[in-house]
Amino acid sequence: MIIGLSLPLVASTALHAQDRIELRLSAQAIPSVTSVDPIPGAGTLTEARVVQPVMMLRGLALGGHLRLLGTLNLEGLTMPRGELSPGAWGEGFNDRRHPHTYAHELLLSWVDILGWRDGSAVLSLTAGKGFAPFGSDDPMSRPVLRYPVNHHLAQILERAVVQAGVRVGPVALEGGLFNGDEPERPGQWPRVTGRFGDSWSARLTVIPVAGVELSASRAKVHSPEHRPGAGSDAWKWHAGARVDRRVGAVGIYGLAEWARTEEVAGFFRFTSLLFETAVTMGGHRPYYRFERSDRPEDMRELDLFRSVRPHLENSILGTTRFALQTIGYSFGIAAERGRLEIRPFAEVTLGWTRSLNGGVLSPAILYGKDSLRSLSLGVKLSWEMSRHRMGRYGGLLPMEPGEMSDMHEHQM
Amino acid sequence: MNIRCSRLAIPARGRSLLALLTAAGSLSVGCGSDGSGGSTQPPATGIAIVAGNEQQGLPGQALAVPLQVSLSSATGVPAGQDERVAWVVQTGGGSVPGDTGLTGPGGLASVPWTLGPGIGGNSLRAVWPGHDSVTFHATATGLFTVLGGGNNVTERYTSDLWVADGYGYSGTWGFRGVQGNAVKIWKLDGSGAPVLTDSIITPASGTISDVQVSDDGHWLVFTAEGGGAGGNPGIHVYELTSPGHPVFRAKTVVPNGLHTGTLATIGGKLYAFTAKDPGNCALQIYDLSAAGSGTITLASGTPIPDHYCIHDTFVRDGYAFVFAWDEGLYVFDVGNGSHGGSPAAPALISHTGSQASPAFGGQTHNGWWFWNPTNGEKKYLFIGEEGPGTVGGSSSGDIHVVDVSDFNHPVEVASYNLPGAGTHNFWIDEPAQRLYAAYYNGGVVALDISGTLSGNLASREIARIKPGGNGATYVWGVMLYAGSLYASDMISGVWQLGLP
Repeated sequence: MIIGLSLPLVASTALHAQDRIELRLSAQAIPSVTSVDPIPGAGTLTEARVVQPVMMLRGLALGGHLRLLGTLNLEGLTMPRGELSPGAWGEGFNDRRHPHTYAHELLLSWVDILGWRDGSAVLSLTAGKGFAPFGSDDPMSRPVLRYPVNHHLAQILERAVVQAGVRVGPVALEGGLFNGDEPERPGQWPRVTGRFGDSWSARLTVIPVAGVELSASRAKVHSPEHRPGAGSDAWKWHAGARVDRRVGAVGIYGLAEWARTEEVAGFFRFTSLLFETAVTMGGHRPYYRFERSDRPEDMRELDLFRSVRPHLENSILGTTRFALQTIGYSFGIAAERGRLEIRPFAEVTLGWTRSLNGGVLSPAILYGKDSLRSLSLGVKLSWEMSRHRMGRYGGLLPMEPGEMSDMHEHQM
Repeated sequence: MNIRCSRLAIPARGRSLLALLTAAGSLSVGCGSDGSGGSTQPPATGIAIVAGNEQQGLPGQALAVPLQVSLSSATGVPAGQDERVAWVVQTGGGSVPGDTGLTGPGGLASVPWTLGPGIGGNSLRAVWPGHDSVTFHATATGLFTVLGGGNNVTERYTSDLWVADGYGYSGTWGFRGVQGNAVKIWKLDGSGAPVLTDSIITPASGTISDVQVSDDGHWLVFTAEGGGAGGNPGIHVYELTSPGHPVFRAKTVVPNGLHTGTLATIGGKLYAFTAKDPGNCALQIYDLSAAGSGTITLASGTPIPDHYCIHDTFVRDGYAFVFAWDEGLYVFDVGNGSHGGSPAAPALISHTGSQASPAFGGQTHNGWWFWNPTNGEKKYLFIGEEGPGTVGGSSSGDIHVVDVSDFNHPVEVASYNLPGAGTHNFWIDEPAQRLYAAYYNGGVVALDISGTLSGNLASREIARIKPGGNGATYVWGVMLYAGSLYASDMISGVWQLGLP
C-alpha cells in the first residue's frame, strides 16, 4: 500500500525555444482512496494510491505540421500492483487496472502533409509508440476516474504504431499497422522485431456537427497476450458516438459505444455496451457511466488479482459479464490563471456480475457473491492537461469542445 | 477432421500390384466414408469393398448394411456371375449365414454380418480364392457403467490421476475457493471404489499438474505450477513405503513450474521427463535415482520454442515423444541407442510441425505410442490436440493417429472427432486394443483401435459416458487399473467406471 506519496507537479509551461518551435509541458496526478467489496477471494479491500501520474511533452514545429507527443506514465512506480477496480482486466491483471508503461505515448506526427495542394483536406502520418487507431479515447482523458471494464475491448494501447490519416470535410479515416503484443510490465517496449505489422486497425470518424462524432473501427490483433506470438488472433469491432460541446456556459459530454472482440475464429466472443455522460457547470461536474462488458477469465496466480503470463494454451476459465453503474461528482478549482486545476471528487460504482458460459471461475467461486460496489475519493491535480484526447493523433479531430480541428491552433 | 487421401499410408511392401491396387481401393473407403457403410468408387481390379465397412452395431446383432464386395478382372472388367467369395470371420466372434457366396450381376457379392457377443472390434475377410482379399471392420458398441466414486472432491478442482497398489493419487488445479495445492490419496475398497483417506498439501503452489507412480510402485512423483517467487512449483518426490502414507523425500523448485512429468526407467535409473513452463520452455529430464537421499539432479534441458511450450511427453523403449503445441511433435532418442541419445544428451530424431505450419491439427498436447500385442505392430502414435475451450464448460480438439513406422517421417493417417468436445489425456488397453480418452465436457470415450486405422474413426467409437452428467463433467484423465477405468473429473472428482 502506498499512502501519501506525492508527485511534484511540473512548474513550468510553454517554452519558446525559437520562433517556430513550441514546447509545452503538462502533468497530472490523482491521489485517491478506493474501497472495493468484494475482491477476488472474497472480502473487502481499501487502498490509497496515486493513480494516473502523467507528464506530457507536446511539441510543435514547422508551423504545426510536425508534432511531437510524449507521455511519461509513472504508474509503474506509484501503483506497480495495479489500481483496485472491480471488473478491470488486461496485461495480466484482474480486478486491478494495470499500471501503464512508462513510455505511454511517444509519437511524431507529420500533419497536413500536402498543405494547400489538397485543398482543405488534411493528410497526416504518425509513427511511434501509443494507441492504434481503434475505438474510443483512452479513459484517462475522460471524466470518470474508474477505468471501464471494456478498456481492452474499446482501445488498443501501448503499441509500436505507424498510422496514416486523412480528413476531408467532416470525414476522417485512419489506418495503422502495429505489433500485436501488449506489454507485460511497465518497463517493457513493444516487440518490434518479429511482431511489428502483424496487426492492423482502421477507424472511420464522421463529424456531422461541431462537437459530435460518430465512429466505427475494425482491427485484427495477433496474439495480444502472448508476446512470442503463439496466441490466436483477436478480431475487434467498435462503434461509438461522442458528444463534447458547450451549450452556453454548460459543457456537455457524452459517449455511447459498442465493442466486440472475437478470438480463435469466434470460439470466444466478448462484447461491451457503455454509456457515460458528464455535465460541467462552472466548477461543478456530475457524471455517470453505465456499462455491460464481458471479461475473459484467465488462469490465476496465487495472487488472484494476477493472471498467469505467458499463456500456455488457448483456453479460458470462463466469461464474466459485468453490469456496472458509476456515479460521481467533482468540483474544479482553478489556479495559476487557469493552468492548474484542483478537482476533488467522489465516485461510487454499484453492479452485478454473472458467468456467461459455465466456466470454472464464476463470480460465486471468485468473489463469493455476484454483486459488487466500490467507492473512490480523491483529488485530480492537473497542470495544463486540457487539449489532449489520448488515442487521437495527426491533427484530424478537435481537441476541445466545439473545435473542428486543432491543427491551426499552434501556428506561429 | 477429415484426412486428405494424399496423406494415407502406402500399403506394406512386398505386395503384388493387384494387392496394391486392391488395398488402394479399400483405403479409399477410409477416405471417403462417413463410417456408416457408404459406398465408394468401384475398384479398377481385383476384389474391393463396395459397402458395409466400418459400421457400428450392438453385440450379437446384425449390422444395418450388408457387406458387399465387387470383383473385377485385371483389366477392370467386372467379373461375371457365380464367382465364389469366401467370408471369413477373423476377430470378434461374429457370424455370416454361409462361409461362401456367389457373385451376381456386375460381379457383386454380399452377405449380412452378425457381430460377435463382445464389445469392441470385429473383422471379417472377404476372399476371392486365387486372387486377393479385403478386410471389413465393425465395432460392437457398449456402455460404460459407474461403479463407484464421484462427487468426492468439491473444494478444489481435480487434475491428474494415477492408480497403483490399491491406492489412487489425484492432483488438484487452479482456484475453487482454495488453491489447487493438494494431492488427494484414495484407498480402493474391496470393489475398487475410491475412498479418500488423506491429502498432501504443497504450500505456495497453485496446481498439481501431473501425478505418477513409478513402475516399481516405490515413488510418487508430481509436478506443480504457480506460486511465483518463494513458491513450490517444480517436481516433488515422495516415497511409497506405505502407499497410503507417502513420505516426502525431495523436491526441485522450477520458476513458473512444470506442466507435466513422465517417469521412465532408463539404464536402471528412474528419470522424470518434464515440460518446463514458459519462459525458457524446455524438455527437462531429472535423474531421480538419488531422490531417496533428497537429491534430484537435472540430467539435461533441451530448449523448445515458446509457442505454448511442451505440454506432455511419452517415453517408451528409450524414445521420448514430446508434444509441443504449435511446435508439434519431437521424437528423441533418450537411451534406446539407435541415435546415440541418453537422458543426459537427448538425440533429436525428428521434429514435425511448427507455428508457421502446424502438424496434427496444431495445439499438440499429449500422446501414446501404441504397441499392438496381437500383430506386433508399433505403428501408431495417438496424439491429443487440445483446442480452445472454456474450462468447465466447453472444449475442442481431436485425436490424431500418426503412423510412426518411420520416426523420421511421422504421417497422420486417421483422426477422431467428438462433436462439441475436445480430448485430453489417454490410456490405452493394449491387449484389448482399446483407447480410453478423457474428453473434458464430453466425458470419457472408448475407441476400438484394432487393425488398420485410416480416415475418420467415428465408427470405432465403442462407448462414451459423462460421469458427472451434463454440465458437471470435465474429465481430465483416465487410467485403467484392475479391470476398472478410473477417471479424474475436474468438477466432480474421481470415478470408478465399469468397462463397456
